[in-house]
Amino acid sequence: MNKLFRHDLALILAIVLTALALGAASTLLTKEGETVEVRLRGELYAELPLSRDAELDVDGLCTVVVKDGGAYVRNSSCRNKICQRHPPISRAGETIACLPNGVTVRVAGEGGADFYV
Amino acid sequence: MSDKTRRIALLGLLTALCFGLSYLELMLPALSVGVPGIKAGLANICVVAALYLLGPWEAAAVNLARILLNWLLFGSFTGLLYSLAGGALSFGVMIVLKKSGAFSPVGVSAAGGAAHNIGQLGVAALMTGTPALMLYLPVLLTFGTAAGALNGLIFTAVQKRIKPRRKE
Repeated sequence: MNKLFRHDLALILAIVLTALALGAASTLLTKEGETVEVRLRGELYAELPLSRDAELDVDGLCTVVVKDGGAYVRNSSCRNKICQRHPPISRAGETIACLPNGVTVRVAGEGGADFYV
Repeated sequence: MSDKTRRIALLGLLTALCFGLSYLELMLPALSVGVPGIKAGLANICVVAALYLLGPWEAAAVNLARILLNWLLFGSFTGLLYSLAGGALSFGVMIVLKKSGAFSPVGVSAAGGAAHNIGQLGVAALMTGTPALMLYLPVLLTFGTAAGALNGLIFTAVQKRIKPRRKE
C-alpha cells in the first residue's frame, strides 16, 4: 500500500508538472496582442486597441472593458455570467465567449496556442 | 445469494448511485467554479468502484449508463459527445493503470480525471474548430487530476468500510 501510494504521488506530480510546463510554454509562445475584436453573432462589432482604456456597450447585452492592457466583460445580461468571471485577456488568440448572447471578445493576431494541438 | 445475482445487484446499485451523485453535483453549485469542464465528477467514484469491485466491463457499463442517462435528462447532444470522448479516454487510461498494478485507486482515478479533461477538451477544440481552447488544458489538467485523486480517496475510504464478508 505504501509503495502504491508513493507511485500515486509520483504520477499525480508528473501530471501537474506537465500541466505547468504546458502552461508556461503557451505563455512564452504567445505574444501580447495589440487590439481586441468584439463580435456579435459572428459579425465584427468593434475593434478596440488594448493600449487605451475604454468601455464599450455591446447592443445592451454586455460591456467590454479595456483597462491596463487587458480586456474583460462586465454587466452581461446573460443567464450564467461565465463571461464575466473570465480574467482579463491580453495575449494573441485569447478569447472570452458569451455563448448565450453570442458575443465573443478575442485578442487579434495569430495565437501561438495551437502549437501543441 | 449466488455470486452472479450479487454482482448484478451491485452493478445496478452502482449505476443508480452514480446517477444520484451526478444529480447531487448538479444541485450543489458550490462544487463547480462556473468554468465549463471543471467539476468534482463525483459520479466517477462509482465507475472506480465498479472497476475495483466488479471488473472492467461492468465499469464500462456503469460509465456508459451514466453518460447516456445524464444526456437524456439534463444534457445536450454536444455535451454527450464531450462526455463520451472524455469518458472513453479516461476509462482506457484507468484500465491500463489498474492492470499495471503499480497504483492504488487514488492514482488510477487521478489519471482518469486528467484523461477525461484531455478527451473532452480535444473534442471541443475539434468540433468548434478553435484550437485556442487547448490553452485551457493546463488548468483543466490540474483540476481534473485533483478531482480524480479526491474521488479515489473517497472510494478508498468507502472500500475499507464495506469489505464484503465473502471473497468474490
